[in-house]
Amino acid sequence: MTGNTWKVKTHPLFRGDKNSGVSTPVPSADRSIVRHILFLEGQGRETPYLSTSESPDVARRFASGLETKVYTSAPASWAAKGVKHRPRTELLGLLKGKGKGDAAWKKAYEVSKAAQYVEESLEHLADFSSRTDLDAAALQELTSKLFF
Amino acid sequence: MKPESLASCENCWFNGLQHGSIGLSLGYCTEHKVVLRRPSETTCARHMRKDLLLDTAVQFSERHKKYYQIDDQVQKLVNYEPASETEYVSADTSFIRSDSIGEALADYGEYGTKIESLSNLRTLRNSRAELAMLSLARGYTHRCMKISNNWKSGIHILWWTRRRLAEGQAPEIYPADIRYSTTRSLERQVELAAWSLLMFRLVFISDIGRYAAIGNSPLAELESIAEIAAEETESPNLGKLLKWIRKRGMPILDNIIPEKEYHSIALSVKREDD
Repeated sequence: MTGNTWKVKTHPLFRGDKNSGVSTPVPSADRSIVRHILFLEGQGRETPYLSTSESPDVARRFASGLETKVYTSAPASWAAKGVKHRPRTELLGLLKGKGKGDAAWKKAYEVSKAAQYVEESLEHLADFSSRTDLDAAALQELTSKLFF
Repeated sequence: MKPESLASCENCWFNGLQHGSIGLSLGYCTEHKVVLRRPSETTCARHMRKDLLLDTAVQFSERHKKYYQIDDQVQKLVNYEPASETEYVSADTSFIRSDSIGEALADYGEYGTKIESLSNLRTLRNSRAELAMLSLARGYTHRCMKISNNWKSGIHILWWTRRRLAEGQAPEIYPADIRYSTTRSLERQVELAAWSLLMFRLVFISDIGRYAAIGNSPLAELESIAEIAAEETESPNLGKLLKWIRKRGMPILDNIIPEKEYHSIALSVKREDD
């Protein structure tokens, strides 16, 4: 399910990741959405977000490579676990000019590239930034319940 | 593009065969002279991101090199090991030579100067060739600055790029240019690809401005052109960017580098070369 017909109450989101489990977010890490989407810290980066897509095809491309799989998640269930759903429409609303809110950034060019990637990947974020109460093991357990 | 792929050969300015969703499924590395069979899964210490402005790309490269330290061949993103011949890369370029851009890249710098090779790409007059030219030109001018502090090396490419912008047309993207589907409609995918190429022209001009600033040239003012365009057009909108280029971008360019100034710099480059 893609595009404007996607609805949070009825449609899932998809994520391509290692088949041993989805990556563990770091709730206390920098909340910059531009930094997250552009992967500016590269290898070993810490992020409070997990990227997902409305499209299983995009998730499959993200999962390309050895020992990977496509996970499914129901964003309607995230709020009860303290995980915020940041939908594509919200992200594109924030990623304008020099960005707003968590997407405020020093370079408008980089904001526009992040907007391009969000639109191309039909991206939504799972925002774990309010779960600073959990340690890595508890976060891993939580993500394994949300992504299956 | 998946986040890790942004650090892969797929998004490196030494690979002119791919640019986002545009290009071939195979890549080609002009540094290691190999066909990239799984470019989203490989990288190396020389990797330079083509989707970022120069300063951010350099900062990313410094961090990247701490993890990926192999300089003389391609390595795997996932475990840092050298990428094996046949499975990940191929030194045999015969297959990509059936593609005109593939052939131009496989011959890059082989039978003359690199600027001649870039000029050959320019004459192919299509979006994939232009993306390849701009991509390799970023690498070429960066290296010229590092080796000889020569910011003028990119002056002709700057002028060719200015001419394309002056045409005021949206770059044409054809079905065979697309290597995977993105976004909610084909129409929007093509529009975003065209926007991305227009922005890439401005990014290259910004690079030259950055180098000119180091060389204390008035062309330093070009550095901000991509940033101004992004800020004033607000979001990836092809129509708005075309309008911005016509109404704001071209006057900025004409003011900073009028034709007379270009010819003067070009002449000084020729004298230095002679």
